[in-house]
Amino acid sequence: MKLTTKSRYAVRCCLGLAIFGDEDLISVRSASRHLKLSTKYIENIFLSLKKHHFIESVRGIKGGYRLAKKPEDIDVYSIIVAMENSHTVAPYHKRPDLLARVLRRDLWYRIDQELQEYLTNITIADIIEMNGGMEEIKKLDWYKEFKEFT
Amino acid sequence: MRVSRKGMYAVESMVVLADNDSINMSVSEVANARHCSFKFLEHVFRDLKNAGLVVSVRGKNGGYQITKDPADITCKEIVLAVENHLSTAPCSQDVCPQAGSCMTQKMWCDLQLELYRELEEITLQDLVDSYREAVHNEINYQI
Repeated sequence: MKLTTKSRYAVRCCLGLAIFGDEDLISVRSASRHLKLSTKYIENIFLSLKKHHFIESVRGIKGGYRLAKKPEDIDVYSIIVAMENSHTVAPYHKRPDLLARVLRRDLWYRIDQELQEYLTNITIADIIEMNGGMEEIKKLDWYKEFKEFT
Repeated sequence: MRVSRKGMYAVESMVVLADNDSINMSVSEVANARHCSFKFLEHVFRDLKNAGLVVSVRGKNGGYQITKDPADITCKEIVLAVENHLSTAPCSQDVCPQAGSCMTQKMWCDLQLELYRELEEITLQDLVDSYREAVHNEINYQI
């Protein structure tokens, strides 16, 4: 399993859509403002998420993005897998010999398995719960700020 | 988060040393056994030595040997000896400017702990045992 910046922001994008998306659609512009990232980068992430059916887009003046699934049906691992090409911590070996194969099986893949299991068990809804649930989140400054802007 | 070549060769070298039991091995012998460059492995061994995992012995039969019982050496120690940190996300190490509005930071930090916990569970002895068993099976296949 590999974890890049893109995956981490993809998780945050899904989270944002889950939190703010109940009433409004989220535009690339407002997401980029909130996450302090370029619109190009956000667009790239949104397109990848859309391609893998995590989110869907709505056209028109009031258009934007929203989650295509329920927050409790999106687990963090599946987002990461959709964003990355490689899913292992295992170092690259051109021609793995016996020792390299043993280590891959008994060390690197074992860690992969463990991390996969851990992340599969966390859904977007769980992260919201971890932060005190929607009611608590609505009291936070950044939530109000975002609401004011949109 | 992919483990670097340095991390990989550190673990491989430790298995090679532990598999050889009491015989001291020079860096070039290990480099030959693992088909990697001597210069590169020298750096790995310097780090392993600094971390107290191996000692060098001078003299005719000199070379490197493991300081502890392989059952007492975990993979976490070995990997962290050559890498400053094996982090899942930068926010598990540094202070993030967006920490105030980020709800995922705790999750990445927990993931980091999970990774370390798993690395800690696997000892050098486990790997040497699996390797010896694999060698044994390989020989059986050839017969």
